[in-house]
Amino acid sequence: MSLQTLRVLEAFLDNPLEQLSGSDVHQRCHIASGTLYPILLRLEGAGWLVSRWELIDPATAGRPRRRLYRLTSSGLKRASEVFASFNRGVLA
Amino acid sequence: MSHTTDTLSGLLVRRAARIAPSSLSARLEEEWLADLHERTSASSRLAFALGCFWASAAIGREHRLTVPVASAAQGDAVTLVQSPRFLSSRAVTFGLVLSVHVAVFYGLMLGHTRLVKPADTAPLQPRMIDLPQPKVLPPRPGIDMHVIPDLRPPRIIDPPPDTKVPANTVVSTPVLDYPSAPPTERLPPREVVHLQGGTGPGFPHPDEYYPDVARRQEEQGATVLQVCVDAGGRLTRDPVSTQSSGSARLDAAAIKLAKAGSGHYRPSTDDGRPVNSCYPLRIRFQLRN
Repeated sequence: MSLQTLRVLEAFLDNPLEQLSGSDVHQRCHIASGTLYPILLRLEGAGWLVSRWELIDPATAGRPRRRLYRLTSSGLKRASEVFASFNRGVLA
Repeated sequence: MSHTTDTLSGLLVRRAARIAPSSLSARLEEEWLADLHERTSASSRLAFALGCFWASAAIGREHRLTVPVASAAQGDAVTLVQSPRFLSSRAVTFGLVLSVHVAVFYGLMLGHTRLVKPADTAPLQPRMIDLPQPKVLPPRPGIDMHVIPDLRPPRIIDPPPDTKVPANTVVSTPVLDYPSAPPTERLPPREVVHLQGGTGPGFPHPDEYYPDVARRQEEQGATVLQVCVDAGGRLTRDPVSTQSSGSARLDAAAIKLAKAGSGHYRPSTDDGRPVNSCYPLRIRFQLRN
């Protein structure tokens, strides 16, 4: 697992119930778009993340709807295990 | 300027989304345009749009390599896998680059061969070239033109040794082929007026160096020394006795006196100019009443 993927997961683990767009993740972990979106799609394909469209009317809101991602339950469990293994390694 | 950048960024994002796999193209375009709208600055939007190209290429590459995760038998609506193309974009790019290289190389070789001229196989023919005659300028008025005489030594032409001279002819010895230079008057050598040196002011008196033993025994006499003096009146080497007085004590005292007088000699002169020289010096020891 790459460092950038860990940083993306860390952004979601700060508040596992929060739904983040690609722009939100960029603001939190400062990963360029060329790297960020392949990671998001990869995690979504692996079942760690799930995505949906934002429930707004673009005409009313005056902006396009965003694609929102959030951790799945299995994604939360596996991401927690990954970071826990890192913590064990550091403490050991 | 900002509006132009925004328009360009939007176009780039749409273009990048079209490069992505067709099943994801519409989704990515809408998602990226929404995220592009979130960016605050024009430069950030432009960087985001350019990054979308990289993202689209990466997504497409991973999409082609993905193993089918949803089988058609299970009735999944979306198939994420596309069949690999016979010619990938990388192969097409490689082929284009290779063809450009071949074309450039062929063009260079063709141009090079046309630039080379065939060798001239015709035999070389000598051709006489008329050299321009040196231009002789007329003498300018007011300037005297002096003829510089030839000062080279005269060349003597001797008859060949095997030439048989008839008996009734008179052979005149050396023949000059050009007039010699006018004889120069030889000046007589100029005589240098040499004035021999001697003792100068401050030179010690012999009485100061008269040995007491010689006084008691009433020894008298003159010693002749050879002294060498520089232009400053100083001895350049130790004086040497050339004629004894008959008393070894007086001879030794004379040498001692001559050494003590160094710096007080009067140097010899050539035309009044002090020079280094060696000359005899006579020192007489004489008892006084």
